[in-house]
Amino acid sequence: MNFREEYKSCAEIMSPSEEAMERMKKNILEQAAAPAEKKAFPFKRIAMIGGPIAACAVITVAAVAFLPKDGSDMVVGTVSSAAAAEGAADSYYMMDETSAESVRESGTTDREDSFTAAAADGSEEEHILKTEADAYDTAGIASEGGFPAAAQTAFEDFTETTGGSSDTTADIPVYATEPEKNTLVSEEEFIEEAADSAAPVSDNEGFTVTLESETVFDETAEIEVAPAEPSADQPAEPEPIYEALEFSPDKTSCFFMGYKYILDPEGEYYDNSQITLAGMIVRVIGTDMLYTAEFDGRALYLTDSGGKFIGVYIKE
Amino acid sequence: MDTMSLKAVESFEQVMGFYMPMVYRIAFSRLGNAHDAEDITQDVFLKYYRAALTYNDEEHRKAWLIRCAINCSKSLVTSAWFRHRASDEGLENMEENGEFLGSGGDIDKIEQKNAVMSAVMKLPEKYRTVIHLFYFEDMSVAQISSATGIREATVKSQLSRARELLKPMLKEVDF
Repeated sequence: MNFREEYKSCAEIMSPSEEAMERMKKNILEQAAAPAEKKAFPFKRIAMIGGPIAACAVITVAAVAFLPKDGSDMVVGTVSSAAAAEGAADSYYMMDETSAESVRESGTTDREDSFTAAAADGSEEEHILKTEADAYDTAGIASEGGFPAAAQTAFEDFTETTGGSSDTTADIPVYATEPEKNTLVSEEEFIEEAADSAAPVSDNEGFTVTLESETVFDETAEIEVAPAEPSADQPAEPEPIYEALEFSPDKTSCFFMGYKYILDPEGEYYDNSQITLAGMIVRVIGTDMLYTAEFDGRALYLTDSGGKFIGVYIKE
Repeated sequence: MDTMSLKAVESFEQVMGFYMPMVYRIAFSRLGNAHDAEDITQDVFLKYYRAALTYNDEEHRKAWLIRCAINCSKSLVTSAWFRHRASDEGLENMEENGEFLGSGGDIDKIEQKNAVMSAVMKLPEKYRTVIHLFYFEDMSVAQISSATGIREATVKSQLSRARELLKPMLKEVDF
């Protein structure tokens, strides 16, 4: 028995009858002739597909927008603080511009006034020093002789404030505040030292840098280099303050911290165990020399910067 | 058939008259129910009419109709309405209507025909389709592959498995 023949004979049962075929043809033609039904908008399909996508997008955007960054509470807060700082900076800048315009109109500024005042103060100070210097020059103290009355008065004032001796013998010099103005040196030496020390020029007298060409650097142009002027924003380095040591012309005595010391030529009083003041750097008035001073309660031991022993001065 | 136009609209009634039994049998072999087979047949030809395609040749048209019948049958089987219905209802309807009994003939032959049909109907749907197209429609493996979209190797394997399933049930039949 062949399966193919058997199956073909059986499958005839599955064939439609004539009535069924006519019925199906009729239905098909009727439905084909009828207008096609408009499909409903697939809301359900859109909701099933687009809903999760939209929800994920919303969650992602919310997470990015409100996620804290760099430890700050809110990104919005950070942005707002930055904007506020920027606005403050702009306002500060605006204030500067405004003040600048007002300055240009008025022709003067507070800063200029302060400079003027400072210049005035400085001039006063210079005037005082100059007066003292003039007093010294007049007295001729650099070489010999006694002290004038003004210098003596200044010395006495100094001794009262520092507690030093008020002995006004002729050998005692006047303690000056500025070494450049000290009259222990001769006038010629003072002028030479002033020229060598390259004192700053006052009142805008100085060198200026000028270029003949603005775009091309001309090597043949004469360029004057100005020394660096200390700007108001950058204060000059404070000079170290040393105690002043003042020698007599013959260096047989000296004046230190309000006390007079007499030279001991033999230097017999040096005692390390009694040193109470060790390694103090002192400045010799009238020079740029720095000595190292040691004090044992009675004697002052001086050594120069090279380590050479200068001498022993016993406290009077 | 050679004189039939390849345009779907121009020869629609002729195509219906020629291919309707084939489409009906394919739908019946997959669904096991005459009423469902009629619904599938009507759907297939409505789609054929509304698609209004132009076919390269008759084999192309035939393959299109077979593929459409199989797909429509699959859609109906996967629908909620069909899944909630009893699976053997179609077979029982056929037996009640006497369709398996045929118009007459030898009882042994009738019983044998019922046995073959019953055995084939017990196969899975995909095996039934392949068996029907191969043994009833006399299509080759390549034609079945192009019509159903299944690879030839798959068609061969499905035929082989179907025969293996039918042999225990149809011991006196030669494949």
